[in-house]
Amino acid sequence: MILSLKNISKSFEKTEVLKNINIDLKEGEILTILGSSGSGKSTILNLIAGFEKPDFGEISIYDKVASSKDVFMEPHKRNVGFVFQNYALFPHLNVFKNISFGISNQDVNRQKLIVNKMMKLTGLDGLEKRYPHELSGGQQQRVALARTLATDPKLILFDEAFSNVDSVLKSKIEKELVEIIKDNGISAIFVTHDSKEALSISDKIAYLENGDIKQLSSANGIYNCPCSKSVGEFFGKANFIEKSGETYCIRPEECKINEELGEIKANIGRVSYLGERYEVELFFDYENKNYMFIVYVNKHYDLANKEYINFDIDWEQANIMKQERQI
Amino acid sequence: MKLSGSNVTWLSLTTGLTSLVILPIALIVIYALGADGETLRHIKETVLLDYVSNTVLLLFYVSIASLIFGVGSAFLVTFYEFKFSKVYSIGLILPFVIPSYILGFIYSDVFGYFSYFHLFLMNIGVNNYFNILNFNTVSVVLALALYPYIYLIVRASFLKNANTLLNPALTLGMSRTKALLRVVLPLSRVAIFGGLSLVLMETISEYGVVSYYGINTLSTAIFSTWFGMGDSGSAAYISSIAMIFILVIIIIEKFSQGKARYTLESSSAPLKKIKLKGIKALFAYIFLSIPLFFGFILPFVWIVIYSFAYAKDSLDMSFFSVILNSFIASGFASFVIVVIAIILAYTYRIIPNFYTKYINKFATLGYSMPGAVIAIGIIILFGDFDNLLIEYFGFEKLLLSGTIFALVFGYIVRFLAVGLNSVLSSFEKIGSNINRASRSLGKNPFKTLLHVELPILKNSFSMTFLLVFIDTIKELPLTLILRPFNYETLATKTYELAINEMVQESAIYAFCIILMCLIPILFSLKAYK
Amino acid sequence: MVKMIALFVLPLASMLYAGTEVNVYSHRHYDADKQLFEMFQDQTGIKVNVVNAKANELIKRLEKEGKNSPADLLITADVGRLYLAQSKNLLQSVNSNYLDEVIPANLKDKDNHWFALTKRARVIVYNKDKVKPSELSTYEDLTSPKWNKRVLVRKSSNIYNQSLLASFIASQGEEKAKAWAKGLVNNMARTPAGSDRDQMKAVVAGIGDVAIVNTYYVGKLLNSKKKNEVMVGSKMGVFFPNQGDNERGTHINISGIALTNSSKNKENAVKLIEFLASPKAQMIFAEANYEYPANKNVQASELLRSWGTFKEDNTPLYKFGKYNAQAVKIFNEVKWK
Repeated sequence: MILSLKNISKSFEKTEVLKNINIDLKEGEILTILGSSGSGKSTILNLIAGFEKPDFGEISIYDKVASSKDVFMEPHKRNVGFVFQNYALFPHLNVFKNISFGISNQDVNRQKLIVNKMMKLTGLDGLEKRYPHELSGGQQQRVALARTLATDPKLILFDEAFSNVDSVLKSKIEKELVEIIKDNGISAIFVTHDSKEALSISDKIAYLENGDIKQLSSANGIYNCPCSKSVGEFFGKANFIEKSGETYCIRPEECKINEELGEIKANIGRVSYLGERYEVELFFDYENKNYMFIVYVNKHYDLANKEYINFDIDWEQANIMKQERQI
Repeated sequence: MKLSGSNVTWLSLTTGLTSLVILPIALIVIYALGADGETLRHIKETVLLDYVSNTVLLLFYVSIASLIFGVGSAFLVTFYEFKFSKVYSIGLILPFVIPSYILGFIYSDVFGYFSYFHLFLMNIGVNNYFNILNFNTVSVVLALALYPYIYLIVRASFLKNANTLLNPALTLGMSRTKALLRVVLPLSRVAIFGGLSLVLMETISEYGVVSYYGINTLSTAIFSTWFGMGDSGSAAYISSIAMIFILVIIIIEKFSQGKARYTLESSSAPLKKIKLKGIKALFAYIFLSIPLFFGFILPFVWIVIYSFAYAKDSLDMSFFSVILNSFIASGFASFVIVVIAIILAYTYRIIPNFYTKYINKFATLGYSMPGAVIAIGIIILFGDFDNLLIEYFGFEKLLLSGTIFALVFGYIVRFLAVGLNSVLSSFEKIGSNINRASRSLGKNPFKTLLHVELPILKNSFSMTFLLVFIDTIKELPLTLILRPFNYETLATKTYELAINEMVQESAIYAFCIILMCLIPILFSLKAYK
Repeated sequence: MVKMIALFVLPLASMLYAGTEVNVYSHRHYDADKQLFEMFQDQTGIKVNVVNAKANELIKRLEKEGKNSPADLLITADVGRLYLAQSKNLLQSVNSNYLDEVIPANLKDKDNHWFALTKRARVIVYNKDKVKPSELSTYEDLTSPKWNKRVLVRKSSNIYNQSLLASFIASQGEEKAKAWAKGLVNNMARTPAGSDRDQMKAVVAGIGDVAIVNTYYVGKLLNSKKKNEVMVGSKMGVFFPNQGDNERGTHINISGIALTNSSKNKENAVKLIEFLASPKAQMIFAEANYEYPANKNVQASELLRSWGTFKEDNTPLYKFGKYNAQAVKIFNEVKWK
């Protein structure tokens, strides 16, 4: 186990921010912690890095106890990488010195070797002499990454590291980053509020709400089998329906329009054209309850003069919501 | 919860340094509680009430005058538009540059008996002249010297919050003037009280003006019981009464803030000002010119004139040795203050918890104490320490009492707050992430301080040094009590000359002080542009 | 840094250089003194190191320094402080035939622990335009109703007033002294403020009509570089109170010098005392500082002579020191601010 959090709780000024956090991370795994702002995501990272001390619980890193009732290992001893939201580059040092900062006690030639390797890896060739304020946002982020990688950590923490990057660049950088991490067998924890980002890069996703991890599953698992409404809604448009006493989470794409034979007859509500498809509100009754579903409709469909439409729910794919579904 | 290696070091250092700095103040309280004796009883029976009532009265008058000057000018300059308003907005800060005792000496010379002013009045037939050395003059002088505290803080508050407060009022149909008076002003009371509390604390501490003008306050009483009667117990007792006053002021200020626990989102839109023309503009000019003229222009011109008049006689070896003395004591003290401030602030930076936050507040206690009180505390502290050495370790003489270390320690206790607040805000500006980044990269807190914060903040820390330096150069009461034998600083020399009826000859020493006080103002003006 | 080291090293240095210098702790800061020290240096080759501070500070310092004090001589501007130093065993006796000869008995300690260098009187000055000398008589008379709101005098915290009151306690007893102080407070034209010179300026400005001041301040005003001060001085008349046959005379006080117990340069120190008591030095004190010389063979300056001779209060000077604490208490009790 690269990282293990057991029964971690933390309060700030009488507010309990983290209640009972348990996380295990294997070698080479990527975990993303998601939640709304203020849910305590960054606190978890700070506890792992050693910037904060937990009130209760134990943290083990690289199979050594880093934080417990009797022990506290300081941040500079943990060799856990950290990439900050604002990159936190050292403004008074150039790119080379920034990247070599963590290995400055090594032999000069070795430093040069490592820095060059890192710069190649992150695509920063030729920028050694530049200063942070002379770099673009994307370049700064890469320097932050290179700087962290230079110390050869086996675990890197990313605190909202992509929030400031514009969306076009984002997916490109994400892909490159995940490649580097996977290639080098590094474990990583990402903290973000962006659900799409989480789904695309993670092996495991933890959803944090009110200081508890509501669900810890694979990306697939958390999207398709959310254990609560809030989890479900976090990852995209979600519809909930009760059938035979069980609550199901039905994603818009799990509803198929079937004009003639569709199981359910619904009134058409608001129609939004999103370019790649229509998003349609459908009102219907099922088992004596009223529902409003968001459904995706192919963009070529003609909804102009329709009042009603029939559709099917793919009950095979639909998943019963259970508490704390873990896969 | 186990404390880790370097954290222990930083916490111990911080705790140790803060304890040292509080020690003199703690001793005052202890001595005051145990104070008794013939002298104290006599003082209580006869003059103590006078000291207290004079102090209260002085605080009252100074409050009124400084509020009028401070709030009034901030109000006019922020919300109204008239020609030269920008000049006034900057000029009104300038009285900061003239220490209150210098202002007091100058006015006794300018308006005293048979001054040019008096003679002028006599020439035009006015025969009844007033005695300049009175209570009202002292109040006005102090108000002129201290109102800039209120002006700056209130103006900053106006600029930040006015739009947010005004706009709702205006949309409800209030006229602009009414909105300013009924909404903005009352809601700015936190800033007003904040500035006023500074003024009041400085007034309690004030020694130079009140003693020169013959007003007996708690501050002068501390001096007279120490120097006149040699009774440190009584001096400590009176000091503790002064401390109670300070406590009351601080509590009132916290109380005024308490209900106003909202943070306003400041609007970035520039404030729309009301244009002033004609009679109204004239009123503004007259009102604003009073503090500007009497608080800065008149004294400054006087200093320049008399500096040059006596330059030939005064620019001798003793003049330069006085400057050297000032620089050495202040330089040494300021350096140590910056170092201690960095240690204290950095500990809070890397271990941000309840303990480090509040221990920093303790370290700033000295700033609200009158200089004379701190001086007595140090005399008691060093005196006891030296006696200990003599009794138990066979020392033959005094080691610490009366040395330059006593004076430097006094400056440290008094002005650490200035350094600490400056360093804390410098750290806040750069944010804690680069500190954490460095530590996550394997550098321990000390190496991080050395390789990250110090290089980045060296300019800020230099500025901190400068601010503290200037405060120590100006300082009078603490210096008068603690300075080594025969050790004159610019401040004490100015004072000595003035009380020996050589006010005009003191101008050149005052000039040096003023020049140094101008430096940070010029710096901040450049930043302002 | 240098100065700091110097502060530590001075005592050491003075021991090394013994034989060529003398260290003086003085409360007086007049140019005349500086001049005289330089003359002494030129004449004898002995260097004079002066440290200036308030008398109380000097005495505290001597106490603290103990037998390691580098001070050889203590000079104060008032006898009360000399008494205080003596009572703390800080002084020693001087054997000098010269001093015995030229300094009158009432101007030195009976055991030769201190000697007067100069003398002055604390007199009543009056506005020549408004007051006739015939209206004045004694200190006590100033408490009579006719002087209501017309008397100006400086604060009670000043040592000259304390010594004055102490002399009353010595010669008349505490009760009468207190009654006088109370009566004077009732007649004050204003709450005390400012120096002796300020009182005189206030007289000319019409605040009061008479004031109690030291004689040399009148001289200082008359010889000031500032015209307005000369003008004030010229309007002052000098009156020596308590001259009547049954009266005790005008209060006098001295600036004095004493040899410290810890003196390491005793010979040089005594030489300096004798020099300061010699006619040449005494004349400079007289001319440059408007004080009466202590040396009985030296006459006062012309200005002082113009005020005439006067009967001096012969209350032994040491009593000013003895009753100083009581004087301070009485001042507080009668609210003489």
